[in-house]
Amino acid sequence: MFNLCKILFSGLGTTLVIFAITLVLSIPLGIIVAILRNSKNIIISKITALYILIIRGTPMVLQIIFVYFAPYYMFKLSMDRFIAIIIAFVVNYTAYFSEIFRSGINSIPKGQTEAAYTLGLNKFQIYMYIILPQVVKKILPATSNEVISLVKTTSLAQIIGISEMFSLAQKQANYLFSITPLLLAGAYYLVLVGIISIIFNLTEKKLDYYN
Amino acid sequence: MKEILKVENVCKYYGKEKVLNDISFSLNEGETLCIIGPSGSGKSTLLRCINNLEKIDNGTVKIDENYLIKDGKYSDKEVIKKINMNTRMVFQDFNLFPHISVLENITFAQEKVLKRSKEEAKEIAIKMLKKIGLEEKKEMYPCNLSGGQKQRVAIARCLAMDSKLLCMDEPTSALDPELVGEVLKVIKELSNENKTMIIVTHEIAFAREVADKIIFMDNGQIIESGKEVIDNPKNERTKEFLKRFNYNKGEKKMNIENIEPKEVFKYFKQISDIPRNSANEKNIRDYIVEFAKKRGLSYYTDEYYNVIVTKPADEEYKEYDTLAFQAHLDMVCEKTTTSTHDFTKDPISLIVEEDYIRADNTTLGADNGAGVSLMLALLDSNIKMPKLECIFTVQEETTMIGVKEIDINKISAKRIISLDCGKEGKMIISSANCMEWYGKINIEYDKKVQLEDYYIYNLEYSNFRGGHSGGNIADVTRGNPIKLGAQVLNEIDKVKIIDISSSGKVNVIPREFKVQFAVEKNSFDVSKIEDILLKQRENFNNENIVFEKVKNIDKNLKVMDSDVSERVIKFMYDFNNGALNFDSEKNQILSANLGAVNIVDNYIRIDYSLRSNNTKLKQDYLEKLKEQVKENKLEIIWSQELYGFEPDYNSNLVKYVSDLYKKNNNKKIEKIITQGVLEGGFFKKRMENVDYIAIGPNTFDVHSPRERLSISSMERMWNLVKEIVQIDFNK
Repeated sequence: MFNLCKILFSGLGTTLVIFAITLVLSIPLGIIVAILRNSKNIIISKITALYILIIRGTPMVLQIIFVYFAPYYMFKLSMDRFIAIIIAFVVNYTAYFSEIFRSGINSIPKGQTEAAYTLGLNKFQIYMYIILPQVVKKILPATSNEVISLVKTTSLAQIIGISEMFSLAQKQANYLFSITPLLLAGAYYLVLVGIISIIFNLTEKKLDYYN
Repeated sequence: MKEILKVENVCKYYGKEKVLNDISFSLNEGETLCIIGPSGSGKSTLLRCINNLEKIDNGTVKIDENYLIKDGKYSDKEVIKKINMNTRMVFQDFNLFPHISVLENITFAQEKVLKRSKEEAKEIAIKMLKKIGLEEKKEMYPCNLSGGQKQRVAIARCLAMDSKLLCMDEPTSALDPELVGEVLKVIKELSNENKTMIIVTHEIAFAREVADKIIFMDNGQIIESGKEVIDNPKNERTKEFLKRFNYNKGEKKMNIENIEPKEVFKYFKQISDIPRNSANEKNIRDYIVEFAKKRGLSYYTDEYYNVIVTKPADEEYKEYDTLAFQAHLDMVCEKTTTSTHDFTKDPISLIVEEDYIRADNTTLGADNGAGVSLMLALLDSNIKMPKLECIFTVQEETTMIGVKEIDINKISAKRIISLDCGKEGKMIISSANCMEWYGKINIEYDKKVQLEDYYIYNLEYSNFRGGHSGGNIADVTRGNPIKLGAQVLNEIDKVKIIDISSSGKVNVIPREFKVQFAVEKNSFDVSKIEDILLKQRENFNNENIVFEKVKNIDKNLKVMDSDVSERVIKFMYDFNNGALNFDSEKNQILSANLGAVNIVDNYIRIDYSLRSNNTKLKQDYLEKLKEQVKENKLEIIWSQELYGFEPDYNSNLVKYVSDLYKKNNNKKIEKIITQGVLEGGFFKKRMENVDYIAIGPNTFDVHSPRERLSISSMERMWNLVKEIVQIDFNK
């Protein structure tokens, strides 16, 4: 059993790296896409809308396979598995995050921007110091949903042969003819999600000082 | 004198509609300009254009040395940035930044825009806060301030940013009337210090006092300007507008029938002439029947004097669903001690003061006369509309017999809009289900008691604030003296109650509670309860809490036995009192009130009530309550249920009326879940699949002789109602 824990634990590293890199990249990208999607320039806003439509409208499995294999079939370039999975995840999650951020940004009353403008703040300052801090509070619940789903979705990385935790668990299950490794993997996910939930709850509490 | 602002031939269109039509004026340094005029006349738009929050289509605006726009051509970014540094704006709805403190709200832009150091910005901010008298609030967040305080902070925020021109867009319109004064005081001081300002306002008296120059606008045009606009208006439209504010020269008491919207106030005056206290609605009913007959409208009326008047659909609206409006005919009759008014026969005399109508030392009856007159005006208007049913109910303020008994088969509409909300900008989408009980516990006396073995104590709570069991119960600082008393009694073993009484009724939070009890000398430990009393006194230091030993004991005193006493105490102690549950929007949706405990004949009578806007929560509570009743052998003597209705966020009625309001007012209507009991609960209970909401114009201090109705709000409500009847709810 201890051995099993150790094996899965080694896969947990990969899971966490995919999770962390995706999060670190897709959140800022999501903000940028959200702002572009809101842009007054119709072309920019339509292009981002199309991007979001495609990403949300096709299965993630397909996107992963596409990122990994398409360069090979099109240009005879072979992709590094890990880079491919990161690209696929970031592109996918950026789309989802951007819609959450956009709903958050749009929920801030127009008067906030107007007041900030008449005080002389420029666009960047208005977004950075007035809008986004308020957006954070509004989007926390929706974001926590998305982050939690990301933890579990990392298991899709096995499609292109990356041995993250769940794929190791499956292998062990086959090897041992037992369901225990899968249940153990489930427990690992549960703990991770638990930790994330606690972090989000704490943050939500911390932002409770105003409404 | 230096010219700070020059506006020339400014025009602006929304589509084809010209919202600003050839506006020209100028403003010198140190001057205060007030812009007045009816809603929708373009005043705010003009101000927003000057602040570059909206674009102008043609004309010239020059601020200080720089052109914002010259002959229809905007200057380049750098120049506009300079202009942006020279104008500041105060908004109707404050727009403070909610996530940073009051102090940071004022220092923030100073640091980021003017590049002042932290210390300098703070120093200036504190100076400004002192000026507006809010220095002690500097660490607070905007959500903890009242509206008036928020607006003062917003002004301080602009002042700290040194600008040549300060614009204020209806700075007091979003405030409750009692908070307007503090903001006007601050603005007046600024005017005295010769700050250059443009103020768009509806406070005519204020404008007259502070302005160096006044502009009257209507329909996107400047109709009249100068110093004398208010005191000596030349133009008919100006005179007409000012009449409403009682500022028409020589005409001190304004005739209400001349106030816009005339078609509504005509009826308000007529119904005010008819006495209509609850249960005395025959005359007003006859008036409405007469009204219907004269116009050939069909009507239905019953022995309770409810009336339903039906207006057939116009040709173009034949396909639309029938729509119903509803208001109650009766009014609360209250007067000041000096008034000689006789509510059974005297007409209500109406007094116009600025934007308000009030009565002469009596209630006004705007609750719900405002709704009745809006409905009459609708029935009388020649606006094309679908089939309309106007439901006039009776005795809403007392027994609600009208809505309980009205023949619902006579109502074919599936959507009912009540006009009994009383606050513009709010829409009631749910009212409370209210259950009330009184139960009794029979008294049995303990005849074996030897009084000399006992101490006798008085425990008295008085001077508590009480309040309405629906509206005030969430305010824990009010406290419930019965619950506090029970907390103490529960700590004492073998209490024997001698006397028990409280103030109040089933639906009122009690203000007093008194109990006299006996305890055995050898088993009583006073220290235990003194701790509790100490804490209670800390929490309620303005109220009186007395605990004292009775010295001269009457030998014939009768003492209740322990079992009875303990059952009473346990019930009071276990009763789950107060605001108990809130929805995600922090609306109170479950509350219970222990209203009174008294000795009547040979039993102890306990009155309590429960209000809920959610059936599931109600059921859960009732189950627990049932157990408590059973456990303490309470005999329920009387109970009644007043029906409520739950919010329906998916209803088309809620959605379309909200959308319309948003379109007209540029802000969302606030959806209210009230813990009060409304007629809507009965309509919803008795009729299948009916949608019900309540809206209405602003009224203040209803049910008291200070009751007032806002004229401008009535006008906006009339405009809204006229548009509501045009909505196709099926689309």
